[in-house]
Amino acid sequence: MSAIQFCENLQSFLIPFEDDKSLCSFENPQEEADAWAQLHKIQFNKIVCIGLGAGFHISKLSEQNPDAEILIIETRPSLIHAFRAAFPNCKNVQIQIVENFGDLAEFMIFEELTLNNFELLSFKKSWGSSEKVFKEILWFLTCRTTESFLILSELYKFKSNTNDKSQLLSLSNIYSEHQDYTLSSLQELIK
Amino acid sequence: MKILVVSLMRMGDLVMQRSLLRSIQVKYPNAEIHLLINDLTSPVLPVIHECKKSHIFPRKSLQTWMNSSESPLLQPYHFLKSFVQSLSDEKFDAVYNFTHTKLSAYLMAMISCPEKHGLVADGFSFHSFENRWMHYFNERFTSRVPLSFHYIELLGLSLNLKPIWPKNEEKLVRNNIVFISVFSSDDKKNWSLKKFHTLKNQLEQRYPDLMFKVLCAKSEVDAICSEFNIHDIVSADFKNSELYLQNAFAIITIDSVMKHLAAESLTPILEISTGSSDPQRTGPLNENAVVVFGQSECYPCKHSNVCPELSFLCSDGISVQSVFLAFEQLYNQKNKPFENLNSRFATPRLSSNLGYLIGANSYFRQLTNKLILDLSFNQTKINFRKPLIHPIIDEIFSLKIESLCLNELKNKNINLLKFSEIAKKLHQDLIHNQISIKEYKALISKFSKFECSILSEIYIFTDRIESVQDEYEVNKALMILQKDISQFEKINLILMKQLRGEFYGRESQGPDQEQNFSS
Repeated sequence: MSAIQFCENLQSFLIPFEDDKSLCSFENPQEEADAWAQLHKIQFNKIVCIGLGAGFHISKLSEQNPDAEILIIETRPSLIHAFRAAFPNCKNVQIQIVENFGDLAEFMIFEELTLNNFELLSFKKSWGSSEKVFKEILWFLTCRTTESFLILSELYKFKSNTNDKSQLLSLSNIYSEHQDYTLSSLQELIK
Repeated sequence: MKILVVSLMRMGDLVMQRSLLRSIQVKYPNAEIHLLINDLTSPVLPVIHECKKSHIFPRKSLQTWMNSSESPLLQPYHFLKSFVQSLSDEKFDAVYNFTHTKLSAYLMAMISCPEKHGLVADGFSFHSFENRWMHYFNERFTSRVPLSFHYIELLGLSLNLKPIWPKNEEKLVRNNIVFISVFSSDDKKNWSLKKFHTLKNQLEQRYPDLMFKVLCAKSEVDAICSEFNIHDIVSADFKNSELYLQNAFAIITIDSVMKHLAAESLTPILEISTGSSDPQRTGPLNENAVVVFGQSECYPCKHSNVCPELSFLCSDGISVQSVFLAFEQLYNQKNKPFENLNSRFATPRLSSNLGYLIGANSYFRQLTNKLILDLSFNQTKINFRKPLIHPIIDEIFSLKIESLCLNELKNKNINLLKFSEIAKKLHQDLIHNQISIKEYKALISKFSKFECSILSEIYIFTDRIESVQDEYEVNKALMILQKDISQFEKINLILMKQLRGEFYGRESQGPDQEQNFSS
C-alpha cells in the first residue's frame, strides 16, 4: 500500500494524493462531489460507499441524507483523521477499514447487508492506486464473487449446486423454498 | 373502502383508462382509488383526477439494478419485497389489474387483497380467464388481427366495467386556437416535422380566423424550433396542456398523450395515425375525431417491432394534402356538429392511396354497448365452449370498415330502424323454422348482407336478455339461446364465405355442403 500525501489547493482544502494521483478533483472538489451526489437517487436508509478519498462526496451525501446510516469501506486508515477534521458534522458516517474483501465476511458486514436493503455507491476517483482491492470489495459486496455467493446461498438456502463452482453463478440454479418468489421469476418480471 | 388499480402501461393508456376509473367510482361510490403506476408514467398523474393516491412502481430502478454489475445482486429482490409489502399494508378491499401483462399478473398475486379483478398469476401460470372477454382480449389484442373493439372497451368488458365516457357538464366556449402535437414516444408514430410546417402554413392561409400553435413539452422545444418559429410554440406540462385543450378549437396530433387528453376534454381531434398506432385499438375516444392513416402493407405494426424499412413507409405515404382535406372535414363537422346518425357513420374515402377518414369509434361504441348485454352470459356462469358473437362480428368487421357505411343504405332510401326490424323478423322466422336458410338468404340478399347479419343478431340477443326478469328466466332464455347459437353461427359462416366469394363455387352443390361449413 502506498503512502498518502496531502496538498492544499487554492481554496485551502487538503487534497489527498496516492502515488501522485489525487483522490478527488484538485481544482474544485466540492463541485465534483455535487455532480457525483446528483447522479445517485438514494432510496434506502442504509448507504454503503466504497472509497473515502478526501471525503467531499461523503460530506455531500451526509448533508443530503441526514437520517441515513452511511458506512464507508476504506483500505487506508490515514484518510480517516483528515476526513473527521475537515467534516466534523458528518455524525451519521461510520468508516470501516478493511485490508481486503475477506475482512468483510469476517466483520459480518456482508451478512448484515445482504439481508437488508442498502444503497451501494462507489466513488472511483477515491480508489487511487488501490483500484484492484476496491474492485474486489465491490464484486464481493454485490455477490459477484464465488465466496460471497456461497455465503449468500447459505443465508437464503438456495437449491444450487454449490460444489460445482462453474455452475454457481447460473441464475437458473437459484431457487428458494421459503420465499414467495424467486430471483428467476423476478428477472422474468423485470423483462 | 380502498381500491387499487394496477396500471403499468404508458402515459396515453393511463389517460384512456380514466373512463374505467370513472366506472369504478360509480360502482363503489365511497371508494378511495389508488393507482399503481410506473415511474416513467408519473408526470401524467396530475390529469388523472379520479385517483386519490398513487404508488410508483420503480421499474426503471429495478431494471438498472438488474443490469448493473455494481448493484448488489439481491437489491431488486429486497426492494420488490418491501414494495409489495407496503402495498399489502394499505389493506385494499379490491384490486383491479388494468395492465394485462405478466409483470402485473405477478404483482397482483403478491398483493394481499380479498377481491382481485383481472389477470392474476398462479405460480407460473395465470388465471382469471373465466371471463370470455378476457380470453378474447388476451388472444386478439396484441395480434395483428383487425379488431372491432377499442382497447378500453375490451379492457372494460374483461373486467366487467362499463366505461363512462367523458361528458361536457356545461357548454364550453371554444377559442380559435388549433394545437398541433408533433412528437410521440416512438419515432415510427411521428409524422415529418417539415410536413407539419407546410400543413400549418396552408391551414393558416385557408383559415385566417384560426391560430395554429405547436403544443409540446419543454424538452421538445429545441427540436421543434428547427422547423417552427419559437412564437408558434407553446410548451406546457400535462396539467396546463389539459387546460389549453379544454378550450381549444381542435388539435392535430399523432398518437400521443395529447390525443387522449384532447379526447377526454372532448376537443375535436385530427389524428395522423402511423407505425404501431392503430385507431381501431387505441384511437381517440371522441366522436369529434377523424383519423388519417397510412396505407403501407405493414401498417399497423407491432409496438415493440423496430421498423425494418429504410424510411417509415406508412408515415411517408400520408401527404400534407390528405391531412389538409381531413382538417377541412373536421372544420365542417365543427360548424355542423354530429346531429344525425348517418354523419357519425360516415366513412368518406379521400383517395384510393391516401388513406381513410373514419368517424372514430362512435360506431364501434354504439355497437359494443349492445354487445355488452351479451356479457350477461358470463354472469350466469354458463360456459359456452364455442366462441359466440364477438369473434364472428370481429371477422366481419375485419373485411372493411367502409362496407358498414350506412350511407349506402341511405342511398337506397332504407330507414335504419325499419331495416333492422325486417332483419330481426327474418332472423326470428328462421329460428322458428318458418323459413329455410335458402329462403332467408334470398330475402336478406335484397339488403346489404353485412348489416343484416350483424344487426339482426344483435337485436335478437339484446331483446332476449332485456326481456328476462329473474334468474330462472335468464337460465331459460340462455338455454333457448344455446340451442339457437349453432344456427346463428351457421348463418354467419355462410354469409361470410359468400361475401368473400368463396362460397359461390360450392353453393350449387346443395344444402349438404352448407352443413359442412358449419361443422
